[in-house]
Order: sequence, then structure tokens, then C-alpha cells
Amino acid sequence: MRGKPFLTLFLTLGFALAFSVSSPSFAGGDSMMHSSFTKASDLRLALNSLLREHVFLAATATDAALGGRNTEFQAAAGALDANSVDLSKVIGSVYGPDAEKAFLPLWRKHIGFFVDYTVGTSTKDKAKQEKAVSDLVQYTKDFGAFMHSASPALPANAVADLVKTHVLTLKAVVDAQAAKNWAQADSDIRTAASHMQMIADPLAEAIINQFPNKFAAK
Amino acid sequence: MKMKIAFKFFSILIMTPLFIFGPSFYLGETEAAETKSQSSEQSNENIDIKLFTFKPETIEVPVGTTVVWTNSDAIEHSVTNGTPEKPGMSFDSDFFTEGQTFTFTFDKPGTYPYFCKRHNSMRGEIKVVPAAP
Ligand SMILES: [Cu+2]
Repeated sequence: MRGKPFLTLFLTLGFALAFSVSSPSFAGGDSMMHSSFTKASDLRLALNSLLREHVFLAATATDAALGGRNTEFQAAAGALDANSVDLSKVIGSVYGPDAEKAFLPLWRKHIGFFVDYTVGTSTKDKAKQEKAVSDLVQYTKDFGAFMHSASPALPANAVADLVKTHVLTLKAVVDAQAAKNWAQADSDIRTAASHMQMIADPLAEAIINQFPNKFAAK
Repeated sequence: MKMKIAFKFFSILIMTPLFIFGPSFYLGETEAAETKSQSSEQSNENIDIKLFTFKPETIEVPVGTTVVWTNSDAIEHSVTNGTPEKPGMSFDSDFFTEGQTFTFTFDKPGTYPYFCKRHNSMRGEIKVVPAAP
């Protein structure tokens, strides 16, 4: 399959740019991840940036997978996983090493389910698609429970619903990509990315309220 | 921002069939766990399941110890002997949820790894050593 070289180039350049812009503070930013946040605004920014990045990288990965471009898929999956690790480090910097260790496999799990959904879509395997969706819906409950345990002020169901919207907005991206409806796919990517603020902001707020001493500075 | 999503969930919860092992199995509400106050040479060890982690992850206990796991997460977990790749036969709580406990008495020395069937990355280990003479 020849694919869409222009889109691919565009996306690749886009992400390269996104990475270079964010790299001093986020991507591969060991310096930042190992030191804790002192400012509420830093935490909010980190969560928003990483969660949006998650959407862009996931969409790159699913597009490559649907197009059968394995090398590109591997690269995107690698970057997506680096993003997951960074996110887990933010969790660890707030809730401690046990939470970091537990968060990473949990977060990776939903990416695995998305890969399943994408494979099911590209092979027109309806049973696989349905299983992946069912797994993803279950997953939202796990994620809600995890966040509720970490920050009791976050209701498990509310977090689960937010993550469910994340799942649905990203699913819309995959469906549009599979239908080669590129305008729809790109519009859906923007929708999915902007929705991440609905997760990042309440998370940041709950954390900041939970650890007022840690986040004295705004 | 309005989402235009017309999508139906096929959210049939598929429960793993129940396999209950061992006579010393007990599953119940925290407040119903009445065995604690019985004083004898037998000792209890408590493990908290919190934030998708068994705390403590590893403990060493003498033979005859009763271990009580309490789920403090708002989701079902299991305490299942073995590993996801190779489940064991000694104990399996199956799923139990927030506020519930699972109790198991270890009568034989040995190393008992265990995991959660819903979250396979959750692992723990009970090392049972012979009782002191
Ligand atoms: Cu579990």
C-alpha cells in the first residue's frame, strides 16, 4: 500500500516539532520527571501536554497500522510508550513510586486494547473489534478506580466517564482513518486532543488540592 | 465542544468462571471478619490492596499463619495463586470488591506467588517458613 505520503510527512514533521518544543520540559525529560513539581501551573501544563501528545501519537500509530506501514507503526508505538512512561513519572512524582509502578501497566493496557481495535478494524474482524471495545469500557472503570484511590476527591465514576469519552473520541479517529475519510479523521484528532483537557484539568486540580503544601506556588 | 458519537457499547461483562479452592477460603465484609480477636498461637497478617498494589508485596510468615487481604480500591481484584501464565492451585479468591476481605491460612511451607486476575501486573508473594520450634 502506497499510503498518503503527504499526510505522513505532515504528521511526522508535526510530531517532530511538537517533540522539539516540549523536549526541554517533557519528552525524555529525566531532569523534570525526577524532580517534583513545585508549581500548580507546571503540573497542569505537564498533564495537559502529555495527554494531548498521547492522542497525537496514538493517531499516528493507528494510521500507520491501518496503512500496513509497520516500520512507521513501530516508531509511533515507541514514542507513544515513551509518552506513557513520562505520564507515569508525573503520577509517581505526586503519589509516589508504588503508584508510578502500578499506573504504567494500567495505562499501557488501554493502548493495547486500542491496538486490538485497530487490528480488528483493518482485518474487518468484528468479533475482535467488539472484544476490544468491551475491554476498553471495562478499562475505564479500572482507571476511575485507580484515580479515586490516588485522590479520593476524584469520583471513580466521573473519571471513568471522562476516560470513556477519550476512548470514544479516539475510536472515532480510527474509524475515520479506516474509512480513509481524512478530513473527518483530522477533525476527530483535534476533538480527541482537546478533550484531554477535560481529564487533565480535574486531575491537576484534585492533586493540587490534595497536596496544598507541595503546590504552594501557582 | 460537542461530540458527535453514535456508538453502541457491547459491554457484556464476561466474568471468568469461579474456581474456588481450599477449605480455608473465606470471603466477606471487613466488619464480618470476626476471627481476629480469637487469641491462640495462630497469627494473622494483613495485606492491604490499595492503588492496584498489594501492600506489602512480599511477606514471610510461619506455617499456620492466616493472611487477610482487604480490598481498599473501588474495583474488583482477586488474590490468585501463581502467575497469569501459570496459575497455581493453592488459593483463588476470585473477584472481591472494596471493603471486602479474603482470608487464607497457610498450612504448608513454601513460596506462594499470587496475582490479580483482572490486573495481571498486580503481583505479590507469601513466603511460608516452618514454625519456630
Ligand atoms: Cu486487580
